[in-house]
Amino acid sequence: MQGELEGFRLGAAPRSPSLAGKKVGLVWNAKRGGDVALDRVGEQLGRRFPEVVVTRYNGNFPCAPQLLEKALEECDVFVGSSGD
Amino acid sequence: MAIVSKEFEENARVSSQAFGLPTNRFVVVPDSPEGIAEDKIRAEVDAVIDDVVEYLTTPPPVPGGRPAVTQLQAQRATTIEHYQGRDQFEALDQFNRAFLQKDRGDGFSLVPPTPERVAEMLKGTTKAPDDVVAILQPGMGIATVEKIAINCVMAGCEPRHLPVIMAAVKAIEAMGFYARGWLMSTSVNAPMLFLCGPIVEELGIHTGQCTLGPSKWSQTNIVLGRALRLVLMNVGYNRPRVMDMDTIGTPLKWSFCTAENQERNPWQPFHVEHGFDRDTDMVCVTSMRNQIEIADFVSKEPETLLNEFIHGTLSKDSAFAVSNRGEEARPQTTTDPNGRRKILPGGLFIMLAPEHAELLSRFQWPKASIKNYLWMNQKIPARWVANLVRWFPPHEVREEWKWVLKASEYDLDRTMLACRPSPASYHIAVVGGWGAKSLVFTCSELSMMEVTDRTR
Repeated sequence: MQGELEGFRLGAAPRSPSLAGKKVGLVWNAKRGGDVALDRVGEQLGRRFPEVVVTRYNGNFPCAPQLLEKALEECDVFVGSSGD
Repeated sequence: MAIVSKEFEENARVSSQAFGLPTNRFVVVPDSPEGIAEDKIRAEVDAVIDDVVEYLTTPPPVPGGRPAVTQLQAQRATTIEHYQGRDQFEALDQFNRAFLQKDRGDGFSLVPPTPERVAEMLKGTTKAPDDVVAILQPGMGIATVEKIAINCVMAGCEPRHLPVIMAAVKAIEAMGFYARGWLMSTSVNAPMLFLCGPIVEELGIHTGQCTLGPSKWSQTNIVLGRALRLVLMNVGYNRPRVMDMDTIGTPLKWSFCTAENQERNPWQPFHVEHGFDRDTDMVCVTSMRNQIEIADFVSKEPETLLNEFIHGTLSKDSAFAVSNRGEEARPQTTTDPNGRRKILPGGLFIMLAPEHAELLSRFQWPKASIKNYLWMNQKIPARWVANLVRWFPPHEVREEWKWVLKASEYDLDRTMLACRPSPASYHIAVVGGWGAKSLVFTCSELSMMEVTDRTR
């Protein structure tokens, strides 16, 4: 039940005004270069916010639900990569 | 939020709407990272990191959704548009210009879907106009009978063609999430509509000389293939540069429809081979890539002919058997208990020229032997696999292939490996006319679906 179907609409996840002390998950879909971009995002977040813990999750296309559930348990904030 | 490259911005926006995240926000970088230097990727991330942080730490400005999804939903309702001109030809031109401008067309002139023509088209099926045939990938559009009928009119179809396209839409839905992958891919995926059963002759599908080409002979093939293309674009949102990101594209995307040449097929019909009754009408939909002609008019025995296929179709696609990409979404190769549909594994789709089929059958080779021979002998050196596997992220390599990363140089050079998973990866159909020229494609999973709901 997606797309055009009425009622299927997900809101954005709640935001925190700071990422300080947050656990950030980088979810990679195995597309070339996405890992480089995600890692750079992780590095930059680490420089800007104290005590950010960054974890990379190596997913696939599509991402295995088990991996997403694991990431959900372990992290507060996610940055993913999708497509090419 | 998402970081997207400029060419993929519209794709990301429409995808977010279609997949239920209408409030998603985007930071745009110039390049897609797949083929550019790592330093450049990092520099492009650095340039937008302030926006990334802002979007990660502030809620979207319009909680609950932007109007884009509403726009998609509004398209569910059929609307009447009026086009005028000094005469009907000019009005027709106005209609075509407007429809192309709205990205509703394939670039060629369309047949106006007037209410009268749509009503006539709907007579081709026993289903009601509002009946939902399928939820169509990649944009999760609601494919009602009426919407499909409208696109069939625009493609130039007759009412009796409508149930074929309805079945094709169901066949794509049966492939699930996997279809989204090839429909939206940057690879050159062309959906093929392959018909089986008495309906082939009944509708006048041309299966002989130049079956896949233009002309009056292939007119039915052409309008059916075109109708599927228009349905994919207008109902499934599978529009180039929107939700079809094919790098180069192919003319096969306009229309790609054929069937077996039963008069010259020495074996069982394709659908009978796969367990359906001879009298069952079926469509088979798959995504085709990498068109390769195998011209061999000198072979006098099966082995040398088949070796031409083996050598001519060694492509890097074969190495995809080492990757587990798409595994989570891969449709299971099953038949439903009612025998109305089936998913077959992907691999090679061989359109075997009747002259080549004649040679093989003269030596009394059943299709199963041909497939076994191809599988047993289409081998690649382990070194090829190892060279490719090194580029895969380790977690994307199937367990049974990880040994190539540890193999000795000696073994890599000495070991030859079957490059496709099984004989079932080879699909063979006798297609076309005179000439010892077969045509081979790599194909995704094949989805077979019975054609039902026809008006008799």
